[in-house]
Amino acid sequence: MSTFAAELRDLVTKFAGDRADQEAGPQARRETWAELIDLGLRDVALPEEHGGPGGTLADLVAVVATLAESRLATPIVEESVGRWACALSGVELPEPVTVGTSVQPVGGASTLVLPWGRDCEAAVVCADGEARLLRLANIPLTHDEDLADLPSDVVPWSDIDWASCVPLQVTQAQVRARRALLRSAALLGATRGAYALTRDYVAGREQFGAPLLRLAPVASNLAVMRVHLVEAEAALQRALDGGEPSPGQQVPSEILVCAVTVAAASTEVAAIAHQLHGAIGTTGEYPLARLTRAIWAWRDADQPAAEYERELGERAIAAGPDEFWDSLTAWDTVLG
Amino acid sequence: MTVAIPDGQLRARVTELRRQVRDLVATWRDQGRFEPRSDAWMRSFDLAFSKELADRSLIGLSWPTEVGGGGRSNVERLAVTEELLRAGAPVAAHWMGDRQIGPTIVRHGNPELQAELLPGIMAASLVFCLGMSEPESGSDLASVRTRAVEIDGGWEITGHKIWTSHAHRATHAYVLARTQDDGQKHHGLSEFIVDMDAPGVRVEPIRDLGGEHHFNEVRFERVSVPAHRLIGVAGNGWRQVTEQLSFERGGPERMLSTYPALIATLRALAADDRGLAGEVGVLTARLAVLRRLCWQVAVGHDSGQPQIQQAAVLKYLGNSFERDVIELMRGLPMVPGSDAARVFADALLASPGFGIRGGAAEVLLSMIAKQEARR
Repeated sequence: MSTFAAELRDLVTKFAGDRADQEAGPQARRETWAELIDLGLRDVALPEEHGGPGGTLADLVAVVATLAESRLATPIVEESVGRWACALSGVELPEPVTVGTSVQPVGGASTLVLPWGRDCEAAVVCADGEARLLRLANIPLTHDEDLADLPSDVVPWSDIDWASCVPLQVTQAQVRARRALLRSAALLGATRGAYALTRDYVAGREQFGAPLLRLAPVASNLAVMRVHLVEAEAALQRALDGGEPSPGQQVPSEILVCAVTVAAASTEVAAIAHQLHGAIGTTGEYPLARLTRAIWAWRDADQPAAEYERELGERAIAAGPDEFWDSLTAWDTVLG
Repeated sequence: MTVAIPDGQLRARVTELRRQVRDLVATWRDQGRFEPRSDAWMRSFDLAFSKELADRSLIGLSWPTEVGGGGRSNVERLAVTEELLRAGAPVAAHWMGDRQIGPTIVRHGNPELQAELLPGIMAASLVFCLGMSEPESGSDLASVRTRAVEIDGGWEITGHKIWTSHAHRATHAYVLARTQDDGQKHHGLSEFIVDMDAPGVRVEPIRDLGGEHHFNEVRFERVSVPAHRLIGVAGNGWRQVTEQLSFERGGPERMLSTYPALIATLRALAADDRGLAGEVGVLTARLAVLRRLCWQVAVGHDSGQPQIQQAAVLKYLGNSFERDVIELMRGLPMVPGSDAARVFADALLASPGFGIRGGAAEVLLSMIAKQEARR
């Protein structure tokens, strides 16, 4: 972690404090997000001519992960990707912006899903390898919520005039790649939070005259959570070592690996966290559900993780043995 | 030992090492001199192949130049070992010497022992087996009952070791024995190197469930061992052997044991993916991350920051990954006697060993749990 990333992490943690436990409702969320924007945190890694504090993608990842770990629900993934896409395209940055997801449901009409859409001026939308900017002013959105109970608004693709959307200078693959990386950072943060909460719980809660952690199955299960957390951390760091994805029509393999791994690891951690917490973990008041609902929402938010798995698998099958091996071992970055 | 090598240089050296190994492996494959094996580092023994590696200075690659080693980093050694294991190449003859016995002698052996044995390990003219486990001491290695008694000029060893791979072909045995008993089981253990052709050494084969012979029982009946064959300090063996075992834990053996089966599966699916692309993707992701952990462990060795938890996680996850590779291949229809069937059976019959050696899964989890309880 760079010094800047460590500072950002501390800043977010201090800012969060116990805010997550007090925050209630959309208005409080908007106020929190406005304060985070004032602190410059939304624009880490944005090209500096747009007034941000600078920083690398890795620094932004630290911010995104720490916000999630601190249980603060923000549109930072969508906003930072949307603003980045517009900045690289020389397009004026919408205030606010989101990134849409196309969903082709089984037996249903193609739909555009817009996280936080109702608050946004515009959305980066992708189709056929391209990214374009959709102005939302006259688009009627149906308001809904995702699995984490956060704003997720929908509009049928048939209501979208693709031709009138502003073309952007980034490809669909670049948008997918950056968003997948940042989504994984958020997932990892929520996973860290669920692990820490569970560790503290089983260390403190006593049954049969001793902390739960003294029971072998509890200790074992906590260790399994830790194993998956270490796995997820390694996957994200490996993806970051791949550098900024270059323009192209493919999401880099290391980002597919990251998305698949962090989704799977967070799923395991969420399940064990609930198991070890017992009934208290199933309540709305206890903080665990904030983290696990975020995990359940984010692991398949941009596309079902299973689709990343298929994409990765198709590449593996198409590759020869040396090419397959080389893609596994490409990122041998030595630190220092 | 930390060596500051600029990244570009390191990449170039790693690429060159990979090329050397790939060329050797390709030559041998083309000449039909080996079949890719699962668990090759344990099961596939060919001293001639080990000598080819020795001729290219690829054994002892990461040992200090002061003892005749290559002076290279652990990251470079990893590039060599993972290229060998993914090819399923016959590396068993030199593996223990290169991976752990040599490094232990480098770190703790006296100069006479180093001069006597290190050149032979690097030349692949010596073969080592590990006398660690006993019938009554598996996971609880510190409870070994083999005794070493001090005699004039050295030691006399009596005991019974088991699960000693390639003892029947070894020139030397590493032996963990008790030299002192003060009631605390982690005190008073010592490490020795014993000649396998010394009087009093008796080897009996153990056939595994696939009919293969690599395991043995080895009995030591008052075997004389010269004084210089004690490694390090008498009584300090526990600290030394746990360090040695840590070399085992973080290596590519932990995830590449069934790699030939994975490649055979990918080859079969190239014609028709049978709807298995998603499962292949899952395994690909797991392998990529396992390999990353392996690489992190090597970097940690080089920078003097041992990645103990990463090594334990690699071992724990690696076991289930290797088994899941087998499960994927299981879904392919195979004809008995075909290449695919042979590769599959090879991997499957080796699989019970994956989760046992070098620390059972339960032991690893309990290690991680203890670390976490201390946070």
